[in-house]
Amino acid sequence: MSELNDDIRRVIREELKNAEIPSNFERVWDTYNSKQENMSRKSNKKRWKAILVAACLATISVSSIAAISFVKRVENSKSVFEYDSNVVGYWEVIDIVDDIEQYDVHNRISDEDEFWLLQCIFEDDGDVKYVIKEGEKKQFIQASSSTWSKGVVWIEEFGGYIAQHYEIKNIDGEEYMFLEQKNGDYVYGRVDEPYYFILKKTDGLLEDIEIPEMRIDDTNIPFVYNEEMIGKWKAVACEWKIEDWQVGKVTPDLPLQELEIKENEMVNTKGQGETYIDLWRWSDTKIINLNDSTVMNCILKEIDGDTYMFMEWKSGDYTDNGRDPAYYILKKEVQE
Amino acid sequence: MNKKITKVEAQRLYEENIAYIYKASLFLTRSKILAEDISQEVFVKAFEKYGTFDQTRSIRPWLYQIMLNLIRSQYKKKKDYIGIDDICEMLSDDYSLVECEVVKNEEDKELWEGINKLSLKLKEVIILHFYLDMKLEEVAKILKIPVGTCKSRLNAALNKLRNDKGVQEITYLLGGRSI
Repeated sequence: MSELNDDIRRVIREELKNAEIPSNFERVWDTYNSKQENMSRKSNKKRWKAILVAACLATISVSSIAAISFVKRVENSKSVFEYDSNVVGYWEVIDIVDDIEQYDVHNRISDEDEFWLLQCIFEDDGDVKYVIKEGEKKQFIQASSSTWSKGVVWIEEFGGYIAQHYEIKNIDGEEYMFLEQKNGDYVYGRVDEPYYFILKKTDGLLEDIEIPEMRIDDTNIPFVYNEEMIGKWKAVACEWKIEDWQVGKVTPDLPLQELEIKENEMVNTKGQGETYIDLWRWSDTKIINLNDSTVMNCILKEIDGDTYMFMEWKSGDYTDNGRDPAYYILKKEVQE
Repeated sequence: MNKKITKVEAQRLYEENIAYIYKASLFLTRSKILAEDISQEVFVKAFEKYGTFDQTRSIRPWLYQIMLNLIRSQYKKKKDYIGIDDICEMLSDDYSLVECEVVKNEEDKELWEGINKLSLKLKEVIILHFYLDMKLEEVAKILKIPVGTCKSRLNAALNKLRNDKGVQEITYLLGGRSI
């Protein structure tokens, strides 16, 4: 083993030894200074904009307010990162409640069996990680869609950002966090108020956490042409099991919107609003993600005269968190 | 209020660390242009956040974290459609390391090609551990993953490289046993 390690070390160092280092400190320093000046100008503009918006909102009628309340409750962007030294660290979930006003930390309401979330880890550069319950096990999750800024946790979901506010209180010498939870019911207006996790600050990670082995697939697959795969496919839904989907069932705000499978083994992918290319290729009924080293198997089916693709979806949950793949359901566009 | 970095401090920070940051960026992005952009951005961000950094800690892991976050954003970035021929041309023009000019023999060349084919997640562990000489516990901290996940990724990378070389032996990194 150590021979391969030494070879890797040697080969990388040899290759990088003669790379020419850019020496442009002055340009970097100028860029930093320009950004500082722009930020100062923007914060003045924001203050005036806030005053103007508040004035306009004061004149909106009751019927307009009623209309606004049915709009999906997500933000288009996150706030600028603001550090909060009080939140950095490990927080263990101790309770779940609907109303925090009357809550007493010494009289818990929920059983631990009800918790799907066990622990939140607030990193000092704004990332948030979780420990969740998977059956009987505790699993560590790198929640790449979650970040924090002072007073809020941002979750990238439902085509925007959900702001889950937190408040930290010192009660009888111990730190407690009251953290909003806004799921799909709240976002789509099916409930009016979020519920809350109550967390207590702890020293470290919970014990007996399962750390799944990383899963990667063999992407060294020779190209096999399959005419049935060629064309544009529009994403319709995403399910954990194929049998959970039926024609007409739609999942809104999917991250992947469209695939274009081309003759030359290329795959174009389209997210929400823009076209981009990852390092995806295809062969026969497989789609190969070269970035993540995953191979997604596809099943093609004719249903009611339309052609559907059931494609394994191997995200970070599959590669890092040990979960089985979910399935994207895509419908083939008819060529005219 | 957070302390602002002075120009003297900034210049020292830059000159002491640019070589590592640039070369690691080059390895991970395989593009001189991207590596230069990312290296610059690492230091702009470091200057911005300098006041929040705990000066009692080593600064290099913190810089590596900023670098990796930028590179990951780059991978997720939305780009206009370009054809496979365009990609090959861009890579060959911009990234001379693909030509493997320095590597002397066939085995080393194959190993280098194998390393470059690894996914970003595996390459991150490789560059931090083998080039920047970080212990796996430090690598795990920088990547913000458990040490077990870090070892698992390193194991996956080594097994892939070993399989590419056609070697049948598998060594378990965690236990240090060979079978």
